[in-house]
Amino acid sequence: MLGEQPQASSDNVYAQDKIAHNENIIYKCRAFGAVVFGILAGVFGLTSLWGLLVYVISSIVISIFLFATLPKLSIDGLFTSWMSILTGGFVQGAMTYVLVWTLAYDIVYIFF
Amino acid sequence: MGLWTPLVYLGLVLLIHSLISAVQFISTHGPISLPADIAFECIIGCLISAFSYVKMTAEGEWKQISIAKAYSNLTWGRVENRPSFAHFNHRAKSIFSDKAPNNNRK
Repeated sequence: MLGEQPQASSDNVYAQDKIAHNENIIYKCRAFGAVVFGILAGVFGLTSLWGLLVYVISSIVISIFLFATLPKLSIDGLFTSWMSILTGGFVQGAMTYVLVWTLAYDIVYIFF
Repeated sequence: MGLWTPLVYLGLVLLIHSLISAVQFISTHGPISLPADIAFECIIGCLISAFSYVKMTAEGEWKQISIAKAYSNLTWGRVENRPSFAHFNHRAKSIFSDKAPNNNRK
């Protein structure tokens, strides 16, 4: 609104480069998890929704592993919400997962 | 190198070995269910490599996002430091050094 003074508060002022650094860690871990779980899904010969289910499971497993590395097992001061850990890099990881899943499945069941 | 990097490689080796074993098994027996040892090796390799990579990448690397905490130890010298302001031939060293040949202090 015009004429309103901005509220001075240091509690909600965040450093964008630190937020990006933390999200980059989550993204790298989720991408690596997508690779290894994609190989697993391909080796097991999973198709269609079973493969999607394995990716969801891999995302949950990586989130649990990330949670275990948090100091004092808390997101205080590290993230603005829990969604960053739970869903960070989900779509990008899905692309990597489908690529590796398809490649591993083809290597095991089609090429040879 | 730490503990986690070798474990990442170990997990990847197990994973790739299970992949190759699965290829050999399927090529000889056809598209049937994989034996338990290959499946177990694949799962173990996957979990070991994923957990080790997360530990290696994320442990101790988290940064505080609050500006008050993130920049609490930022000194004025670090704030105004920039490449164009660096001196590589500051004359104070030669002016105030007793061993300098052109020392003007007697």
